[in-house]
Amino acid sequence: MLANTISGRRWRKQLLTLVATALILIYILAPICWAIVSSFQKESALEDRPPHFFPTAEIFTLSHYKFIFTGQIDKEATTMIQAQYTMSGTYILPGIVNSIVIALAVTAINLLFGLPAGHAFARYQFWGSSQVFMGFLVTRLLPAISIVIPMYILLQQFDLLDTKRALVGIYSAITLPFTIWILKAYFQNIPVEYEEAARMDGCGYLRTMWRVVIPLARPGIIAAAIFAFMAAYDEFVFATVLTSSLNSKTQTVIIAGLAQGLSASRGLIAAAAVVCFLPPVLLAILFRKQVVQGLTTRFA
Amino acid sequence: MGFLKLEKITKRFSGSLAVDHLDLEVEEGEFLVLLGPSGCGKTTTLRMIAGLEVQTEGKITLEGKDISDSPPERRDMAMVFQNLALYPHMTVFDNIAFYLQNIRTPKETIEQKVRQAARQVGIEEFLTRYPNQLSGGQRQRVALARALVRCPKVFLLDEPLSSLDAKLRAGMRSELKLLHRNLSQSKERKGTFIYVTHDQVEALTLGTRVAVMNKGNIVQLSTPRDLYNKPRNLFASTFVGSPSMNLIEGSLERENGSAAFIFQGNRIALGEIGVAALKRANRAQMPAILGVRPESVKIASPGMTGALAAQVVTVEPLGQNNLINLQVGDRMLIALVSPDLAIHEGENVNVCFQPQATHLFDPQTEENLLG
Ligand SMILES: Nc1ncnc2c1ncn2[C@@H]1O[C@H](COP(=O)(O)OP(=O)(O)OP(=O)(O)O)[C@@H](O)[C@H]1O
Ligand SMILES: [Mg+2]
Repeated sequence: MLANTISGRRWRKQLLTLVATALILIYILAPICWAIVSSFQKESALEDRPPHFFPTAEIFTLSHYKFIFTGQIDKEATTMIQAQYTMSGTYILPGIVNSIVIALAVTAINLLFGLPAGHAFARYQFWGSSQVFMGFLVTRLLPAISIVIPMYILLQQFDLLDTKRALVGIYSAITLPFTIWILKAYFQNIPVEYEEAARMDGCGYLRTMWRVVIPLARPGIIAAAIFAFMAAYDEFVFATVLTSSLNSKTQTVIIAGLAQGLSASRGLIAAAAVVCFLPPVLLAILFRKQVVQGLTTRFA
Repeated sequence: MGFLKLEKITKRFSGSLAVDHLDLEVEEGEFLVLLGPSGCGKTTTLRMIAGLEVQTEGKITLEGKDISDSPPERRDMAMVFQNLALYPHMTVFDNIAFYLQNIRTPKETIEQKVRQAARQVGIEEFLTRYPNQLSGGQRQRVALARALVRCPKVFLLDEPLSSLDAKLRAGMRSELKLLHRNLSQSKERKGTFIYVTHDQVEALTLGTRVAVMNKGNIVQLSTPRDLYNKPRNLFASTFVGSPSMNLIEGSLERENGSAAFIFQGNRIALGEIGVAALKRANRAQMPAILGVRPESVKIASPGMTGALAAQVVTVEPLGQNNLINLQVGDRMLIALVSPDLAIHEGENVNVCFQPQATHLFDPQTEENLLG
């Protein structure tokens, strides 16, 4: 009887978890799925009501992708659609490359400064340490839009407008607080004795970090790195104001450029979105174990 | 000149005093035990010696050199941590080899030394495993091997056996003792050990000297034998020994050439010892606390003069001995007697103790009246 009610309760709990998970998944995945489905449909089919949820042979096309990767416009596609393939459709790939270069640089800078800073906040209590830490976190609360104009003026004076360097610097400043915060939390979970043992075993600070702290904090570090990468890869507000050519335009700015005007090709926008989110999705799949570990591990 | 010397070492943690003007000299090749109750500052003292904690005041010298400000990696000391702190991401081999790798030892030398250290503690077959694939006892040995592979100036051990079960602990204790004996006879560098524990059996069996700590200071530093037989004060007398020493409050009085301890109308003749204590205090009569270890409390034959009348409250067989709770007046005394002695609960007996087996303390200063 008792066993019954307990297992019944457990079962109900599992069901609830399942339903909640399903709802969240639908919320997150539905737009992505819709983008994927749309990207393979002819422009004319996208006009149909009700919409096609599964592309049939009649409406299936690869012309959007072909245009993005080769710049060639399919005869079939051009005759079918009134919508325009603007030249910026072919800027997607350079935009992704810019985004990746910037995001990698931001990630590297985050680790270079975040590791020692997170470690210091985790291990040392110095005068005003918690105030400084809070100060870092508070910068996250500043809306980007409120500093983008002053930043524009500043960069203009330093002749840094439309450079990747400028974006790398700004994104690093934006992402570092969060990186430091994750790393600090992760370091705090590692018993300090490992580091002390390393000191006793003749390691100075750098060697202790390299041989003991970093290997032990690997999942946390990977999680922090991926968050920094994603944040930089996704950023739009600064990028749209501070870039003006393929020299520094990121994928977010280029996609946004596709979506302008009534004649914009929706199939092309969808295909561009799919291509742009491939790198972060790949990253997430590759490192999913570490990311989950990094956010959940507790040491004994 | 001491090998390792702590001078007026004080450690304050945001207001609370963990170690208070502690002086300590350790000789080379010694096995010094820091013994004391929880929170008395043993770990803090050890960590200051290691350099993991910086003293608020005071000076530490090693071989005559001031190392007060040296970081831990420059002090050439090895430490075994209470939770062992084996690196979980390294194999047993790498754990043991870590120090040697850090000082850039040639590969063959590392290989040879690691194997030797592993052999010393009997874990050769586990070298390729990771720490989480070992039992508690095996981990313990790895932690020891990690220290033994070096020839450090000082070995620091913080309750290294506390995580083991009683049987393993006894075994490791003997092994440690043997290890120290071998190292202290080594020609190159004698193994100097500083060992923290709150277990008096470990302290008495392992230590060449034992420092009893209380409230951030050393209350007695002596050989285990002297610690047991000549406790310098009340704290040391009750902290060491199990069951703990019986204490009786009363007064010490001179009586025609001899001296006696009086309490609640009872009189215990103390002879020489009492006289000496009174003479030292330069008084004819004074309040005192009499201490006597349970194994020195004897059950006397009935009607013996100078014996105390007592009633047996409980008899607890411990196997080797029987532990007897006795009531004398309104005081409880504990006696350890042979199980052959037929004593029953509720029985009235007489107890006595040899004057040589008693200790006298000043109730005010808590010091031993005989120094
Ligand atoms: N990092 C710290 N911050 C604040 N107080 C501390 C710190 N470390 C130790 N203390 C305090 O200092 C005193 C001595 O601590 P210590 O760890 O040296 O005791 P111990 O003798 O090793 O005890 P145990 O047998 O329980 O390990 C304690 O009162 C403790 O609360
Ligand atoms: Mg301790």
